[in-house]
Amino acid sequence: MSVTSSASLTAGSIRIAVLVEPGSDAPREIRLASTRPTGFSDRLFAGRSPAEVPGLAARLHALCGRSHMVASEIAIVAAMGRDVEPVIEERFEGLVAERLGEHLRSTVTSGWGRSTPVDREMLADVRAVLAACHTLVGGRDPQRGFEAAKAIEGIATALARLGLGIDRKGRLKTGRGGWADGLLAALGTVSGDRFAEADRLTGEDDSAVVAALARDPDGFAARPQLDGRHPETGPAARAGSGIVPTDGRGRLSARLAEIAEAAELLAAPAADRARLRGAWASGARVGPSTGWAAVESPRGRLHHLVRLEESGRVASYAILAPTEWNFHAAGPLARTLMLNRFPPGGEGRLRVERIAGLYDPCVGWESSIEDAADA
Amino acid sequence: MCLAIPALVSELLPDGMARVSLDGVAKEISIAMVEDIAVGDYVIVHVGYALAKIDADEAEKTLALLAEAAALAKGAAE
Repeated sequence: MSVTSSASLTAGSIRIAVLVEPGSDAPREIRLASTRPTGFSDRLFAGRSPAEVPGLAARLHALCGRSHMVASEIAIVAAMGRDVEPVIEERFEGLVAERLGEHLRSTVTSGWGRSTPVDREMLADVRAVLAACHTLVGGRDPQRGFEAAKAIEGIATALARLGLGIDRKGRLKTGRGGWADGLLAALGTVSGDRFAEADRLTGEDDSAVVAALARDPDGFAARPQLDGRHPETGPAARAGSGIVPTDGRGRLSARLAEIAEAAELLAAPAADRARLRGAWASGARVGPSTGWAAVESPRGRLHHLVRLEESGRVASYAILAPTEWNFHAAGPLARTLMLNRFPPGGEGRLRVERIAGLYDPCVGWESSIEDAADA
Repeated sequence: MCLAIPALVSELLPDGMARVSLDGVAKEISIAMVEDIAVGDYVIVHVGYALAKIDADEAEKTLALLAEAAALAKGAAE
């Protein structure tokens, strides 16, 4: 079969420019610009049958297709005035597997992840985990039975070899000298990176988020903020309570802990999983034929909002991705970069890459350090 | 938005790399994260890495959807 090559929508990227004071390594301004597409979901989904949309949402999104599909299903079912719980129950395992696999893949392929050696055996373990997660995420139909059980067992075995686990209190436990231990050591206090305190985007914010998304779908999806608040979302924000960890090691620990927790959750009794489902996905009807969903996707809280026509077809559709919060021009990454120094000679550039990698955007990015006088 | 971009593998290279055709443009990517990639396979690409192998029918449908989205975006901008 020949595949159509055409003027496709491209993934876009984020550009991070650190403008330093002339003759200094102190930042004067952080500029975050993006070419990633937002707002296309309304044009693409409006007029379609709701039955088509979850599958299309999954197809479009490379990294978190399952999260998008589930968010779409929940929002549509809510808009129809039906109970969303059966959807969450049916799709939960796929969400857990997607978070596990995506965190692991992103960590191994990030700039600082690549600087921690991965030998042939470790790479085989990483591949085995990713393949098992792919099995569990599945297509539209969840995987059950022997294949799923084998995949879950394979994940546990491979993660143990990579030195990734959690203790009985749910704290990250890394095997001494293992891959995970090496990653954390590389991001230890020697890096000197500083991270800004941030408040967390939580379920308590959903009603404000949904209202703002309904008022200005394109604008809010591209530049979300809540009455001047720029909360953070993702694993560091989900870790515990209170403020987000303010050092690189703490931030990476939160992501690694989520990998190990997800593996435990996949193997946990159904009753334990049922108790936690509400923290992973939710949704409700907000008006006539209008429904929303929030899914804690790997990179953070993902929102979908749909309104249906009287005919039952999609009238409007909006998606707000977690990267938009973390990479907002006045958001958590920008504030963190302002706390750091960016020495010349490559060291500053490495710092930008290390820090931005820990905020883990869902698109590619590039960075530069420029003299503010020349900008 | 983390869009899924399908690419056709045209050549396998040393060190877990491959040359792919990405919307008609040749590019080198890493295939280290996916097992058993062969010339003629379609893969989903993200930031220089193959994420998963997909069949040609899936690639066709995804590219058609991306083209439709691009056309709608262009129409909205005009």
